[in-house]
Amino acid sequence: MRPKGRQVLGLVALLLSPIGGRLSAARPVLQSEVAEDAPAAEALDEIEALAESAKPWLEAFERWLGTGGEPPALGTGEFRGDWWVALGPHVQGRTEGARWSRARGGEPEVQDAATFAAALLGESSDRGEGAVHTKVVATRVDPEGLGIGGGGIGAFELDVRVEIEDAASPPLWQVVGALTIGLLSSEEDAASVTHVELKSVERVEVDSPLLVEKTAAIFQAQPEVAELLGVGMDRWAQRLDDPGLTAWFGHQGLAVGDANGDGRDDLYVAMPSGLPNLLLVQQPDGTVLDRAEELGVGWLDDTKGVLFIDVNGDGRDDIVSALGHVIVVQYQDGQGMFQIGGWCVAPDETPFYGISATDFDGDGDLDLFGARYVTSQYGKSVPVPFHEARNGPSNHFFRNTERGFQDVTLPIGLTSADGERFSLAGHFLDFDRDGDDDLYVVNDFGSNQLFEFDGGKFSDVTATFGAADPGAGMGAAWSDYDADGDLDLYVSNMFSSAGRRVAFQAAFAEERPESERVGIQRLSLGNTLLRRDGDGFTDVADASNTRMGRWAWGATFVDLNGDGRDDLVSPAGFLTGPEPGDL
Amino acid sequence: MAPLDAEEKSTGDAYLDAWAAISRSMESGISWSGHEHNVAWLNACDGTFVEASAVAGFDQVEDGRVVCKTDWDRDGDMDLWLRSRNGVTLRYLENQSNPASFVEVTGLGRRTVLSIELVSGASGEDSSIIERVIPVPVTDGYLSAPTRRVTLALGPGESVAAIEGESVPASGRPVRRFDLAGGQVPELEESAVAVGSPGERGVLAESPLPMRTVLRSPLPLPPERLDALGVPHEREPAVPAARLLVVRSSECPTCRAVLPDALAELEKSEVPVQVIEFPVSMDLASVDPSRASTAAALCTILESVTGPAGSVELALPLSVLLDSTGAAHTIYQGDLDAGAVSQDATSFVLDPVKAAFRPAWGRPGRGSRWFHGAPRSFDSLRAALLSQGLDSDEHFFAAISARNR
Repeated sequence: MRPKGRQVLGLVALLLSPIGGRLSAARPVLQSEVAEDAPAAEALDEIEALAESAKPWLEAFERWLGTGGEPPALGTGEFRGDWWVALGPHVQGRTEGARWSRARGGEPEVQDAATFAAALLGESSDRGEGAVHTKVVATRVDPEGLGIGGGGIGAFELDVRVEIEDAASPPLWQVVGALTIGLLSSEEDAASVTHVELKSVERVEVDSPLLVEKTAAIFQAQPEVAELLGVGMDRWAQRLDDPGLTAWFGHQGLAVGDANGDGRDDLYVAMPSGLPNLLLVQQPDGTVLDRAEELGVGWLDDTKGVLFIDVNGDGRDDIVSALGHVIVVQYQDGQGMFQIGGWCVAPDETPFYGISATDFDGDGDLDLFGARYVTSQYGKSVPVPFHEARNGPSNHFFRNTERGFQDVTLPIGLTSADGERFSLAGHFLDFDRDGDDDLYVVNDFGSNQLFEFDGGKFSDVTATFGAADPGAGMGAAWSDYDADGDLDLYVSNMFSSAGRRVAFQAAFAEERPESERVGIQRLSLGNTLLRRDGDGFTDVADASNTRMGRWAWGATFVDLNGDGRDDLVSPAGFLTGPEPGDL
Repeated sequence: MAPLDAEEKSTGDAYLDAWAAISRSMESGISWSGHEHNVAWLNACDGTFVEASAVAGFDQVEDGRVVCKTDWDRDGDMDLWLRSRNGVTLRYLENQSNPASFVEVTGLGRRTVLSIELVSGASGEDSSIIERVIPVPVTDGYLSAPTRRVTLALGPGESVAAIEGESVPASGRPVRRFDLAGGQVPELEESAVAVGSPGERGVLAESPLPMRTVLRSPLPLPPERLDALGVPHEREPAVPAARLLVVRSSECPTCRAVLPDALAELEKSEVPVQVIEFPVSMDLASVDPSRASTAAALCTILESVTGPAGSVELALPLSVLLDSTGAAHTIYQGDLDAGAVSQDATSFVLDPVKAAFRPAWGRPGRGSRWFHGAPRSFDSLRAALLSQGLDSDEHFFAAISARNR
């Protein structure tokens, strides 16, 4: 069975492979031509086909774990497959309102199916209402090095993540397991499972949900606003006058501030082009009323980053909006209105994405930084190479002066000497706690950058501190999560199952330099937790169990259970399209 | 899907071809790392995290993008606004941890990093000091500008010993430390902390007033109080002017040792200084009757920031930045920073309004993007679209009325 479409990172793989070399030849080559004799491409297609061929078995496995009954068959013909459990001792822990246990790293032992299920499900072995989901995260062809036969016959392994949960009634629980599934494929038959190994399991239980959604209640005074927000971009893109692809991607920000000095937090909501931005003003009962239009902040331009912060130091929160390539500053005037009082304009029409603020010159008002990514038409500016692009649009830093906002990016050192990297966000924070704000810039198609402020200028100290994080970065957040007195950094990156399956195969970009192969591979691996250790940072995402944030965007730290320690939340998912298939 | 269509020629560049193929793939309607749920982890307090997406209620499958933190309901924990690309694009998720005791800190202007020292355990030898480092960032995550008011849950037996904020280019002093008085909410602004009114839930602490308090709006002082202080004031001054009123004591070590230097520095500035000196340190309860009107005037100022119910201990030296109408703008506790005072005088009194205001924002050469002139409610939008013949899909609105879940 062939997948419906080649994986996108498979495309990258193909185009960086020997076939890609042919595509780069002087004579343009049609894909239909190269497909005829493309062993590397065929090998990659075979890998995808192998992963696809395991789907029927995985579906049966999910049904069995969820509702019981007969376990899915192992082996084929006279060959009998095995259930293996490779768990070490269970480690248990307890934190405010939650209990957890985990086990990993034991010697594999052959077990029967029931024992295997019990090891995975633990206290939830009665199953019942648990929902089960599996996800293939890696594929290894011919793991034993026995050689793969023609026609796709041979052994392969899948790394599979299984999630089982019952969050409907207390106590709520969920289990995450890591499996390796060995399969044997043949041209004629569906793949046969030779063994299933349970390599780790983690279970958490709480008495009640840590977060409770109250969206409907909060919009009860203006249900039409909830209705507006209940429509996703796939629908709006069919109707808006100028949605543009970048708006369709859902890059619209949120900012909390106080719109009227009543001491209550209010919310400014950026919207895609054609839909007005919203200013949700909190009422005494916690509900909201949208007052954007009457207060002068109901922009209809595509808006990405927004701030709700006291820019001019008058004690009132102002609103800053990234409207395309212009950042507009609107000051709260004390009469309830937001008046345009400043603007920052990029040198070309590539829009700003993330914006941030600091008082770098200590004059009591805030200066602004804007990160820029691709042009408004996705695909018109192509990052080259994907993993370390240096041809992105420039980021800009604007000093707030009495003559307006002035671009001082160059004199204060906030440029990338070797080229820009398609930045999505910049965050100011005094990470080294020396009394001034430093800047961390998150780049999608290049390593992230840490700029230290000292002596009136910023300097790139990324290498010094080991803060590069070469993943495809979207956002970042600071916290002293380990309570050791210094600030650690969590970076939201792309995670792509397709990338992990394809980019790690031998056929992937085999003619390209190793550094390029590794760079592309790193793009799909997931999030990074940079723990501050002494003078630098160390990536501890694997050890801390925070790598798998899926395709993450704006992960941030927040104390979910009131124990005084920061937990993590990571909004995730890139594009869920109308087609059921997924890359 | 092949990287290039059969009819499409290669650009000759692998990356350009790949990009074109990626773009076309996304436009085709297939999912790319779609159907992914949001992720939440609980801190296991051993350097690791435990995934808890489902039990946390943070496992929506809507192409999540942005999380914005706020203690929306002022119950001491951080609630979340969640922005997504699809499905319900904005959700309010209320944190249920509701800590019995917490600290709330508000950052003003440029945000900062706080070091909060907690006393854990009973007093005496069994107690210990725990440090919590809390960032109060302007932005975090992706496209998120969270609240300036952060909270820290306190465990049983924990109390706040001190909060240390770091920042401060204006005064040139990189670290400021302050202790908290009972029932007060600290607000950080640059190097200083202002005391705001407490929220619905109390905040712990003890001890003296902050160093610099910027009043949210100028506080007009009663003319008779100003007269009692001997401070000149005009109802409608021709030009704005600033004046610093300094109250000090001959018995106060800071007043004797440090303050004179700052006052000498201030004499070179445009801010005239008026000093009222008391022979002894004092508090409001023991004020000399002959100074009652002065104390009452100072009381008026302090009550503006602590609230009338606040029990205020007046520590000297105390200075107040006034404008020529006699309205108070900033209060300084303890030592003075002459540079900061001059800066405040300029920012708050002499030139408080930015010049570059404009009534509207235009985009030359590009038409307005007003949504077909439609009013902003959803029903009105729908009616406007229909009236303009823009809705050719009769099922569209029925579908979105079901919220596209």
